[in-house]
Amino acid sequence: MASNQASVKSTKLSVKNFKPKVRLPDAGKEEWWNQLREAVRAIHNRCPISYNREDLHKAVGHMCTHSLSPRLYNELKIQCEEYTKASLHQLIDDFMDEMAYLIKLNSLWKDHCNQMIMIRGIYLTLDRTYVMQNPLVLSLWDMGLELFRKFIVSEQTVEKKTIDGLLSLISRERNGETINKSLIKSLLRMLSELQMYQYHFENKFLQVTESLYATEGQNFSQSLEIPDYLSFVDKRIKEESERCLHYLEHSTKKPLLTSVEKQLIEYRKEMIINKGKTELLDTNRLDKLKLMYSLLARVNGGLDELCKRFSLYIQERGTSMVMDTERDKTMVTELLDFKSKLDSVIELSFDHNPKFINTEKDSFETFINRRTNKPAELIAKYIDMKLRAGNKEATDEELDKILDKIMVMFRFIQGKDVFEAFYKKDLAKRLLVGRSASVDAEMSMLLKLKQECGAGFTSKLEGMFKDIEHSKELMPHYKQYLNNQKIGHNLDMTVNVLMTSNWPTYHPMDVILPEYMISYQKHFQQFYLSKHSGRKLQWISTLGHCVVAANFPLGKKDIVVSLLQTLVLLQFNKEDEISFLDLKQRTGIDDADMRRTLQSLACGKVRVLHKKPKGKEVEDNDVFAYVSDFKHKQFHIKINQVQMKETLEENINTTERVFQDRQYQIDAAIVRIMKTRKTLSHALLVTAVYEQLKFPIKPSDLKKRIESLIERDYMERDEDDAYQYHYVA
Amino acid sequence: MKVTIQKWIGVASWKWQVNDDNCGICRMPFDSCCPECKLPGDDCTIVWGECSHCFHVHCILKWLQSQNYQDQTCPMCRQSWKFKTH
Amino acid sequence: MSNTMEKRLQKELMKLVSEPPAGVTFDSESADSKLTLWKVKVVGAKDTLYDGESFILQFKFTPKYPFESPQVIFIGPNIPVHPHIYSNGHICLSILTDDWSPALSVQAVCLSIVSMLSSCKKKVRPPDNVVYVSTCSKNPKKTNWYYHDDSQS
Repeated sequence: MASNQASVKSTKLSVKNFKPKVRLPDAGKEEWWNQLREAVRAIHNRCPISYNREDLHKAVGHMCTHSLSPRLYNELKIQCEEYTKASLHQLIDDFMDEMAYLIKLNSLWKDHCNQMIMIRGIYLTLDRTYVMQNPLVLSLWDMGLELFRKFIVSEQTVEKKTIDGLLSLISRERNGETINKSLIKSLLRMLSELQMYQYHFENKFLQVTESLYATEGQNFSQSLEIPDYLSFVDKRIKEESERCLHYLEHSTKKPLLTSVEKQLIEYRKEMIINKGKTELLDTNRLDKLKLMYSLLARVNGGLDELCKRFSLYIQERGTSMVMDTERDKTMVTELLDFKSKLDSVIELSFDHNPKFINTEKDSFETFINRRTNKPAELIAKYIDMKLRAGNKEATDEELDKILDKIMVMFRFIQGKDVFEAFYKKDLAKRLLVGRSASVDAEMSMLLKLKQECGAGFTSKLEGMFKDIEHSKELMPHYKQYLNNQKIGHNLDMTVNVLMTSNWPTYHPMDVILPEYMISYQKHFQQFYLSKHSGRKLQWISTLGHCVVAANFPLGKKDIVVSLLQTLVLLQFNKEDEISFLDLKQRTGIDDADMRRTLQSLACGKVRVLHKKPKGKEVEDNDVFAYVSDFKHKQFHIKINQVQMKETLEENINTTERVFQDRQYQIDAAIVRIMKTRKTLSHALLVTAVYEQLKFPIKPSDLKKRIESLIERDYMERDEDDAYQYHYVA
Repeated sequence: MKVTIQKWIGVASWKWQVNDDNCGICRMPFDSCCPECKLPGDDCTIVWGECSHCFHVHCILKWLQSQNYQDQTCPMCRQSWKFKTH
Repeated sequence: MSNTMEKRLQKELMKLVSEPPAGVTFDSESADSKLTLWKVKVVGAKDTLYDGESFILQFKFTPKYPFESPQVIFIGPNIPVHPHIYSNGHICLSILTDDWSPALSVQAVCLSIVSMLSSCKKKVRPPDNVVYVSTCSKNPKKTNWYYHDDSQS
């Protein structure tokens, strides 16, 4: 084999001949010449050598010691040259097809190698002495290669036919045919041995490859669906890598793969990403996305482009989730699903690339804040839903996981004050009216908010929990106090006392309570103020609720109702039918609350009152009567859900309070800045205000605040430059 | 129908009964606590002097400690300080 | 530094900057970052002996503020010539030591000093100025002040 030969060639041993010079008899000399010539001819003709190898070897040795080496070398060279020249005719045969031609050439090459090995065996001493001592003289093996190159392969027709033949074989393999890999490998080795590989083969091969894939890239990227195109590219890259493994020289691998990647990926990357990403992400084809990622990672700027498009995709899809008011009900769930889907894409398909993780974050922040306030409100409500009693999420751990996920969304929100207002409102209801799913979950949520926004953000929320705790501790003392008072009625009264500044603002409503309820209130007030001097107490009637025993003709029921519902029901103790306006007047409940309360009693799931005429809305002229044939399979009935629901009014109030608070903060920031800077351009003032405020403001709103401050003489416009302001001391 | 109330869970909110919004010593609102505390209300309560001036209990105690026992005065009116008992 | 001192000084600073009383100006930049050293400009009131003159008051606060009074002196080239103000800037004013109350503030002190200047009938140094200035401590709060009744000076 050629490679074995190469290794033999490289292990030249410099062994000096110490034998004393022996004079050669002339007759013997001539005979040696003949014998050697004869032996080489026999090798060339594939005949057995009729002389003893040992003798031949000796003869060469003797000749070398008698300074006959140059002649010996030249004679051998001439003999080989003649033989090689003569071999060429075997290839000059126009009827040989491509394949036969290559096989023929390969066998010539194989023969040549074998013959040279045998010749070298005989002439070993020549190689080790003469060749070693004369650097300009080629070793016998190299001399043989030189002859084979010069007289066979460099022959114009041979060279052309060989290279064309090889390229055509490779092209057939690329088209799916099975080819003789060892033939091609042997011939490529030959070219390499003859120093013809790179110049004569590789350059042409790369050219052909490039133009093939330029065409394929162009055609298939158009005609194939993107997932198929990706698989096609992947297959091509694998094939070419295998080609390198099987028969191409190692040096070819890099330029070859670069060329394939350039033509099939780099030049088509925009198209691949544009056409592919939306479809793949929408259908969540993780394997194909992974393929797309790994292919794009091979080329310059591929991942940058993918990352850019990834961001646009998130923003586009996200914006439609957030902006569509029809989807408000499902917005948070959709956002959570969307996020976890993208997370798994990054994890499973995008190699956990930190650049993509950051891009996802930034994109979420961008789109979620495209709609001001609503996402913050809906996130707060989503948490409320999860934390309410009766929520389906079974374990605390599951709930905690959900809360962690929602905190990620919360982090994206810029208007955290809106969130806080709604969260507080809902927390108040959980604590006072309904029940919380789990105290642990409430505390864990509080801790998360604290970690995220600092203690200042949660101190009032913590205060709310404290108030409830204190109230609980207070109750046994109150019961004791009541025992010492002589009160005719036997009412089990519990009170939650709130510190006003911790809780949402509630509108006071002076409802008309029965005498005995008032006396209970008075007693509590006395008790409380005796414990806590210096305080003022105010009752919040809209938050109270009661358990009432109702004697229906068909049976007695325990009903859980709001205080307002109770007051309405009590009216029916004296009369069976009462008009809307009379009810309003007798209870002191304001109009909107009255309508809501009656709706809950007469139009809800459980109806204890009849509305005349029937209908969903409560009208001024409606008359109400108690349901005399009321039936319900349970003894305990709850109809106080009305308090847990958020009314439109409540929603508007909550939002408005946040805005009002923001206006104060904007005004204060502007005044603060103008006071220290005295004179400032509009642009600089706006920048400074944005730096100070933690919530988003529209430039137009900021302008309005500036106008208002100018009107109120806090500042004035420059007389010459309308965009310059002066502080008015 | 005869309806009787068996159980009543009432809700009331309280505020300090004060003339001033802020504590005269630390200048923080009475609705929130003194600068050394975190939670307002029972943990950081308000006390009145016989002169009827009021302060966060932590604030007035610090002031009284910094004065001689004999001449402890109200920071607002300089009358000698006595806690008001109800 | 205590929370009480820090929060209170912040509040006072905001208030002094946003609602400065007549004759008092304060540039919040002049206070150091920890707010323990302030410089406040006071201007002599119209139709008084100090009309048109301006002076610099320096306030130094300890962590015990407001339970302990600030150290207040006049600094700079122009020290008002006044029977209760020494030429080294020390001021003989009872609210700065014995009569201090945490209900007082930088603003209240400034106003007291302005009114002290306004009520002056004759621009003279205190009679013991030379002796005091050569013997006193740098910190006026270390002086045992004997407070004159204004009507006698």
